[in-house]
Amino acid sequence: MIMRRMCALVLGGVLILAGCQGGGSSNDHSAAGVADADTLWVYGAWARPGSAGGMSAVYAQIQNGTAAVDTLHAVTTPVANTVEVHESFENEDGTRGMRPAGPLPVPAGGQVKLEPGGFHVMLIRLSEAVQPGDSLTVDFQFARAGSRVVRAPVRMQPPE
Amino acid sequence: MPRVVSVLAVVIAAGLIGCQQAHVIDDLSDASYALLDRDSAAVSFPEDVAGDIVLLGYIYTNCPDVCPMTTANMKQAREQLDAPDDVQFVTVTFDPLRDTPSVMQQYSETWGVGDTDWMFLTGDTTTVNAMMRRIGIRHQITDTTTTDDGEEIFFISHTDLVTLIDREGRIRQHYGGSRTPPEILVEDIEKLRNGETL
Repeated sequence: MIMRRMCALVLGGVLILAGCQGGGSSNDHSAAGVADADTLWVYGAWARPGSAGGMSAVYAQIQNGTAAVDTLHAVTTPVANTVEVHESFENEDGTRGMRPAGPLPVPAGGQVKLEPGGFHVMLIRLSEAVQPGDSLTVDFQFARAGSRVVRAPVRMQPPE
Repeated sequence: MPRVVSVLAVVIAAGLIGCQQAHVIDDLSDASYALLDRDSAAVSFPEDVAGDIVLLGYIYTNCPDVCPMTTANMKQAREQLDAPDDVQFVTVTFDPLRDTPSVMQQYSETWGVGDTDWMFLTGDTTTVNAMMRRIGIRHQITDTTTTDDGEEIFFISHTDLVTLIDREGRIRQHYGGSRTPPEILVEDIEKLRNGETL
């Protein structure tokens, strides 16, 4: 009886996980632990507020569970025509700047964090204002894994 | 004999307290920068905020990563202080050609402080550059990109600071603008309020 119940639980778990992975390219999971060991996931995405015609930035984590290096080669979103991956850095004199960082390699079995003060996706010349409460659709395009579409809520501060 | 020692200890302690003068990085009370607020009203800095404690941040609005962290930290500090009357929050751009008063107004609204007394200042390039030089804020164009529409946009490497100014217009402390937890800013503002050393 106990064995039968355990089997049912395991089967249920497998079905839930399979359900999570269906539906094509969208994979906005909130934790890396959800990720299949054999695929690439983008999760924890969020965006800075920005005014129409201004700038914003999108942050996220990319987990590559595959055995091959992948490359983030493009990012798109409906709210900006020009989207680039950049990296903030510190100069020797202590000033801080940015430089282009794409295409961005994602190591096999590894992780890349897009986070404040580091790598980030720049949304240039927003077509509309984006405010806290909004949620952006962001398409991360990888050379091997293809498209990963996530929702990025707009926040003043990083999520806790 | 123990009484003599006690008296000496008191005298030395009193002397030490007397020696604890405020650490001043620069006294701006002799400076006057003619700037514009986000409603294009003339502001003379720092005279127009004299008597208030000032938390001063430096940004350019086309900065998508570092400057927003600075603004977010200042905003949190302001919220933790419950929008105090005696502390003036001031953000000044070092990119005045693009950051016009209306752009600064938009920026303030984006950050949800458009209806507050938080000053967002810009001005002519000469004045802004003079102010930045005096305070020690370096800024130079180091990166450009071209949008899909063919517009060339430049980005600026810059000093990442916020500055605490006391009621007498003296710079008392600089902090990493994007890297300083708001709690530290609040703690030092409270110390200035209470006349304590930083």
